[in-house]
Amino acid sequence: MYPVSKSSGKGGTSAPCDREREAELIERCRAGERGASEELYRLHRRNVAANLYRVLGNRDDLEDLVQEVFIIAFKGLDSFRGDARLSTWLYRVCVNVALARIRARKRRPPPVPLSEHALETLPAPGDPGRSLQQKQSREKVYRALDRLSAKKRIVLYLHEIEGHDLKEIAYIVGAHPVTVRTRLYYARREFYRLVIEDES
Amino acid sequence: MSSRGRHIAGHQLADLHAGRLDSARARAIRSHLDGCETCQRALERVAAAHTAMASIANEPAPDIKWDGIAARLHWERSTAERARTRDPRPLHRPVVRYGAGVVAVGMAAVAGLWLWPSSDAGEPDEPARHAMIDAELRTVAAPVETAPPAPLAGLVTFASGQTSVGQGHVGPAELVNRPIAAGDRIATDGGRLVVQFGEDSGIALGSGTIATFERFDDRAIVIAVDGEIEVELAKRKPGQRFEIVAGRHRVAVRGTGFRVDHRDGALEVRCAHGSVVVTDGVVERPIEAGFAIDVLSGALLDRSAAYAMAPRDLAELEDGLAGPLLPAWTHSDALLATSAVLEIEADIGRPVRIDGVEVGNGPFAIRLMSGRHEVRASDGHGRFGEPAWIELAAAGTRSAVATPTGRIAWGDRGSVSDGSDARSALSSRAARRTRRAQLAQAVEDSRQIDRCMAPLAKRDLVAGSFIVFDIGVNDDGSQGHLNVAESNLPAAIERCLRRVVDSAALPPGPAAVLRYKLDFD
Repeated sequence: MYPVSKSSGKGGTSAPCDREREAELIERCRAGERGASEELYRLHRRNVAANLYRVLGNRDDLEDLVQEVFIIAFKGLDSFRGDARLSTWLYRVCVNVALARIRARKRRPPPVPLSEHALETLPAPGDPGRSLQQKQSREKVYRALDRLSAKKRIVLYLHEIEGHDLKEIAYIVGAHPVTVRTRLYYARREFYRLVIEDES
Repeated sequence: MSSRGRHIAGHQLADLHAGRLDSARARAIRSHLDGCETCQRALERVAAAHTAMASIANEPAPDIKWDGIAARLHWERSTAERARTRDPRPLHRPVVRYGAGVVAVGMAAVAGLWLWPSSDAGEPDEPARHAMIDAELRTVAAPVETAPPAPLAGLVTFASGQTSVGQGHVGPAELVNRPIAAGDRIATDGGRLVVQFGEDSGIALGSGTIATFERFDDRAIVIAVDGEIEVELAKRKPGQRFEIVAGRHRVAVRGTGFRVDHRDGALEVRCAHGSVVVTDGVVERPIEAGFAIDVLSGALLDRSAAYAMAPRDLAELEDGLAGPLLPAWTHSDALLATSAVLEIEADIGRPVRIDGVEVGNGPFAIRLMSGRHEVRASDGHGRFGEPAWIELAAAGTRSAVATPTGRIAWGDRGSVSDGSDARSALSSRAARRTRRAQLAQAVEDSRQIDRCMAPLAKRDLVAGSFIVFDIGVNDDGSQGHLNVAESNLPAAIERCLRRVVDSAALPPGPAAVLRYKLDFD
């Protein structure tokens, strides 16, 4: 699971030596050391991919999105002040990249050409350990998420699925906590109404 | 409890399930649940959703091509590093003028003072450096070309306000029927103009903007801009150039969406996705998605740094970037014949939505794929009125009026072009019947329908499903337009079925516009 402090109490503060190693890695990346950037990519690639995959609900263009996150991260490392864990900062980049993708999806008026992987968005039968009912429940959740606006979807995902508190969400999405609280209220109200009304 | 005391709101059930309610409130809700089956079922669904969300939260990353991504990242960083470690003092190299291969890129009017710096001189002062930069930018070696590049013809998909092309003013209704070519100089006076030139590729000019299409062919697109331009660009093929010339700066594109605002010598570049490079001929500043750069009038690019855009600004940029574009692109001539124009009369500041997407406000003309479209207008208080359905015939023009109350009324110009009249005459009942039968046979022969419906079949959800396509078939058997008019299927399955129908090969025969329905038992 992504090492971000959450309201559930998971994560929490990291050991001082972890922060020191992280600061050293960042400095090496800023200095242009190739091995350092490869190390940073190896350390965080799975979490980045997992976050994008969970927020978006499918693996369309996942590789391109992962690449985009790391390009932004490497470019923005110079301005990273270290006031949050690198993982949290990367998480923020993931969310913004996902938000842009959600908006791009909603912008395209139907119909659009189908990508080769579109059918893979629906869970394949026979996934080990996953019953039909679980699959249907997951699909229902993503159907409801798809019908929310991009901003509401992100805050609801961060709160209800990832378990972040308002302050963390405010940092991640770059909004005021009061704004996040209002947005989350309307997002939850709409989301659960959709879940309850979904008869399929 | 809901305000009317009937059923519990979903989010309150979620709080109850998660244990977030105080004991008094929880007791009250449980008391209601004891006597309400509807709310009990709702709670079950909320609980199932919570379980699903917990499993989503623990979903691991799928396996993807990690090494491929690493290789591409290395390439990106190497390219950026090479650009940074280029000779930092090119001013001390001689500026060489190329002979017949010189291609003059459009510039702001700056007299060229070409100064040869002395070998023991220090850094030239800023005016001299500016002049040398300008001189360098004017001398660009033409690429070695074998065959001449094929010219592009841009299609205007959206026009509002008055615009001049060349010497004369052109209204929106005429502009949407005028292809844009190399050499065109467009000046917008209020309003917005969108020109599409490829699949998911187009530019939008803001109000008070002058844009000159310096080059517009399949090898290079170079547009000189004084004002605001938005760009949405599909990935370029190797060797293809796309550049915006903004005074003494150039913004080069690598498959992206971005906005450039160049006024009174100041430059703003905002990148929504992909990447761009801003250069003054000496320094290159790559701008990645979500970043922006501001260069004040007279300032040097190497003193300006890119900065991350606020999420709100990025979202706003994404929402309105370079649209509206046609969803599919073939060739501008073909699209002139197969798409249609809708003219909307609306008050300035009254937004209009077409097919659920806000496309503009005020009077405008828009190019749409032929077929059925939904139009809604705002009443000036932000409330959208009842939708109106409009049928657009290929190569036709229709007009509608958005009333102050948000209703849509038909305008006086409800005529269609002669070409569309002829096509309508051809689209007789017999022609539609013939084409419908051919389509059905082609779709059945493809044996792809079952594959599309497989996910529903596995869950026994096929019975009762349907989808209705609105299709235009040309006399050579090709499809002019293909829209999903109605369906009760998930979006992924809709897209799969659309692709099956789109790939159906039809023989030459009568042209027809028809509705084709697939019912699943």
